[in-house]
Amino acid sequence: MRTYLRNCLLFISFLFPAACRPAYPLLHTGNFDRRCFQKFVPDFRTQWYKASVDVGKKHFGGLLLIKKDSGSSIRTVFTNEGGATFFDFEFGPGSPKVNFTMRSLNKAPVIRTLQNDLELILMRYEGDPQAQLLSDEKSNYLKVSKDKKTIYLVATKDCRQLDRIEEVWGGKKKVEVILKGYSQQVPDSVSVIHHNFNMQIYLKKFEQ
Amino acid sequence: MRSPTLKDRPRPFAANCSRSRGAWAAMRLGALHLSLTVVSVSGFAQYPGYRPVAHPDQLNNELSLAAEKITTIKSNFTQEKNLSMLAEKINSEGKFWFKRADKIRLEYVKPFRYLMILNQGRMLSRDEQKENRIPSQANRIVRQVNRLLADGMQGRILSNADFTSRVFENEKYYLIELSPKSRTLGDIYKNINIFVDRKDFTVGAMEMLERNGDKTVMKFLQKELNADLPEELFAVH
Repeated sequence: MRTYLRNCLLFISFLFPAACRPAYPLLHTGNFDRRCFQKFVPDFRTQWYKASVDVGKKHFGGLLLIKKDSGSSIRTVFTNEGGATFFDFEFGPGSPKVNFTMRSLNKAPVIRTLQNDLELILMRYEGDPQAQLLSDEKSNYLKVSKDKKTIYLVATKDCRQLDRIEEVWGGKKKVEVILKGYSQQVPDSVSVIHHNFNMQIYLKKFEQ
Repeated sequence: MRSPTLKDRPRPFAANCSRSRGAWAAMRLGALHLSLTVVSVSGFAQYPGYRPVAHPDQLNNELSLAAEKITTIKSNFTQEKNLSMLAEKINSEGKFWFKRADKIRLEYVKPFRYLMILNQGRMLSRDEQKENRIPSQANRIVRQVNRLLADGMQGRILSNADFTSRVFENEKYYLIELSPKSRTLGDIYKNINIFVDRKDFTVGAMEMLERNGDKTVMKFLQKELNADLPEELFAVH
């Protein structure tokens, strides 16, 4: 009986391979106002966050400053608690710019990952003119395709809450960002979860 | 016909001035003296009000002797980090404890909470999210800053082989300028300056100057020397 059950389960699993499921199979054209997402784009003027980072079994902390420059660019500076600056990135109209990075972090994959995470937090994809408005039963989606990746901004049907931001590669979710507790268009906390490797970032707003 | 050489070049005043060879030599000597003076002044012009200490070895002995009388230090601290490019700064404050020989507890309480304990090669750090215990030997930056702090408290700062040093003074402080030798710290910091209080030879402030122009100043205030500090303060287990 047990062997029979196991074979049945195996047969079913072959019929419905989980890996073949697209990220969002039932999305249809959304009938909602694009401003549904605009209001969640963080308006960082000068904001400090206490950062907590877990990479594998290692944990470290620091402070992240997000500051809007005099122009249209946004600066992000990460320091440790003792004051040493780890990196300083600038996000303007073009590609992100590295103003400074500590030698041990100055490696292309590290910089790419950090800049990518920060671009998701800053919701830089929201203004993409090619973005598609999509919906399913529960949520509204703003879909932006860029290179090989797809970014989904997901909000509740009534547009009252931004559920999450997802970065998807080949139908698989790679990064998930959750912005919570908005006040004056600035989130109180931010979580970044990497699904393809063990890395999590948690940011908590603080005032001086 | 001989082509003109450097010797033939008309000298200023030479054709129409009656200055002797001796006057020229004196002028050259004066110029050399002036340039040497500029070089030596520029060495400490970055520290207005400070002059070089004539006998650093003597100061080293004085620091060691004074430190022998100190077993513990308890103080408050303020920290100001200046981000040069953004004209932005962040102020934090907390409490500091030191127990001879190399036990340090640094507790940030405002505007965020963060605790770091260094105890004989082991380190504990705790933020609002998590606690982390690592051997500080595993982290070269932490190890060197740890040694620097411990050396500062024990009067051994001028003997620290990880840095080259220059010493200056004014009426209130000795300023010990430390330049990291290793790439680990040297990659981040241009100089770390320790301000030693002349009254009791304890560290009054620490200034960390980064290569990107940023600066962090830590000031130790309301110092209490030789208070009874329980071992639990420095527990990393």
